[in-house]
Amino acid sequence: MDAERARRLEELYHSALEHEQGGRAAFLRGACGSDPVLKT
Amino acid sequence: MPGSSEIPSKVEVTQLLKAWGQGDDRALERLTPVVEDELHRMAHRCMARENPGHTLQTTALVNEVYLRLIDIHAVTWQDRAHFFAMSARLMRRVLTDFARSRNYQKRGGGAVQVSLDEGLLLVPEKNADILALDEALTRFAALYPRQSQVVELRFFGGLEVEEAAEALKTSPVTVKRDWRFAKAWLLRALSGEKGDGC
Repeated sequence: MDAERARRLEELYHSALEHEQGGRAAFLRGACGSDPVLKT
Repeated sequence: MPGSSEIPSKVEVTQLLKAWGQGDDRALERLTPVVEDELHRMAHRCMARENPGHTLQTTALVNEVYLRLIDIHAVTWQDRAHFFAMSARLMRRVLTDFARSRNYQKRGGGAVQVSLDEGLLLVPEKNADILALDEALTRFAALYPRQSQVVELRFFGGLEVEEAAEALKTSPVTVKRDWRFAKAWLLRALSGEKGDGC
């Protein structure tokens, strides 16, 4: 994982926490887009 | 003075700590081996007394070393935070060296377990295998240097959020965020889930 991906992963983690449990999965599906590494 | 093998007194060690806090890097150079020796001695004494595979209380160890070396009435809370920060880093090395040592392996080996404070739980079990954690933390540090320092300070030294913030010259809010993220990352890495641990 490169530095840019690492930075995005961290951001996603914090943003996802701000979403309610129910909306979190949908948020992540949208935010990860087609990046397979972020999706795992 | 360099090369001196004499053990400094409590007053001297306390002065070194205060001087380092005021930006004197030479004071840190003198202080480091003193603290490391003491941590080493205490950790080994603890491990020698017990059966292999028993649990080591990192926070209690650092506390004991602090009380032995420092005149606690002569220092500020910032000095204390700096002492615990340096001890936390040294503690990680002391414990991993010990876990790898032949001496320990000969005695039956097994994983060196470290005990985590309730508030610092990193893994589902209360105890974590020190070598597995060290390895995961090294991988984490390659991607997230500051965040990994937060783990080192909180985990190995038992620093509070405010103290860790002081030691890293950052805000308590950042420390809290970093800690939360680091725990999630490490938990996943240590649980051996698939993926590359990212």
